[in-house]
Amino acid sequence: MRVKISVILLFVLVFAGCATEQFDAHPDLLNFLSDGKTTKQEAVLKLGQPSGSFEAEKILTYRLGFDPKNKGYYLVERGPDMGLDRAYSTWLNTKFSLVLIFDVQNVLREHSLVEVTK
Amino acid sequence: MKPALLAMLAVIITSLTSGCVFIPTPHYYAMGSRENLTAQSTNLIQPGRDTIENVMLKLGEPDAISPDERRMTYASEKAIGELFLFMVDPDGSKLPAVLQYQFLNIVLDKNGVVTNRFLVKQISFGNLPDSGMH
Repeated sequence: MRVKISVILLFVLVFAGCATEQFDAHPDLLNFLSDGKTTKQEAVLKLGQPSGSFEAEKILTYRLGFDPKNKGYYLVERGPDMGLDRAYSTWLNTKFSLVLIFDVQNVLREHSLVEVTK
Repeated sequence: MKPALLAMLAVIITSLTSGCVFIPTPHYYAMGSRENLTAQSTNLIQPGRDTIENVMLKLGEPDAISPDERRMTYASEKAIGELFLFMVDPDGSKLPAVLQYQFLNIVLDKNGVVTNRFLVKQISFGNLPDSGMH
């Protein structure tokens, strides 16, 4: 019995490092975005804290991963800069950069989904 | 002496005297690097016409931006080869990667209109070089 448990523990320890990170991908994550209609409040409520905010929050950016299995998107947090004291961001697990431009009434004026990694 | 033999000898002598040999490998992006930065990216951005909004709509979130948001950089990191060091690494087990960094630096005026953009390419052996943006 003890040997069995030891073997199981050994397998768990050995293969724990091989586990892949699971993301909850949603094909309809961005369906709510509509230029001239969606408000900034709606966007933030739906997508959460943006990875970048520019021009006094007129421009918000989000990082998105993509699951080709269900063609779903998932949000990726702006990660640590690879721990190498580099001033540049990294795009691990990220496929797209979503850019949202709002007008003075905080209504979405224009948006684009830019493919940043292949 | 045959030309091929002569060339081989020249390579060996050069390698031994220089202490290292550059071994080209298939190019690949470093883990976590942006991959949408090409030589054509520079031409996508038109000074005097494009704004910070247009730039982000075309290229996405920048990799770095100054606190006043008047300078921003898009960066990519690509491995292009390995360096074999004589005497230091005789078995070739610790070949340092030869990395090519590309920085697309964009300068904007106080209205957020692009005034200049320039692409800087640098080769490094591991440490992140200066983006050339001062």
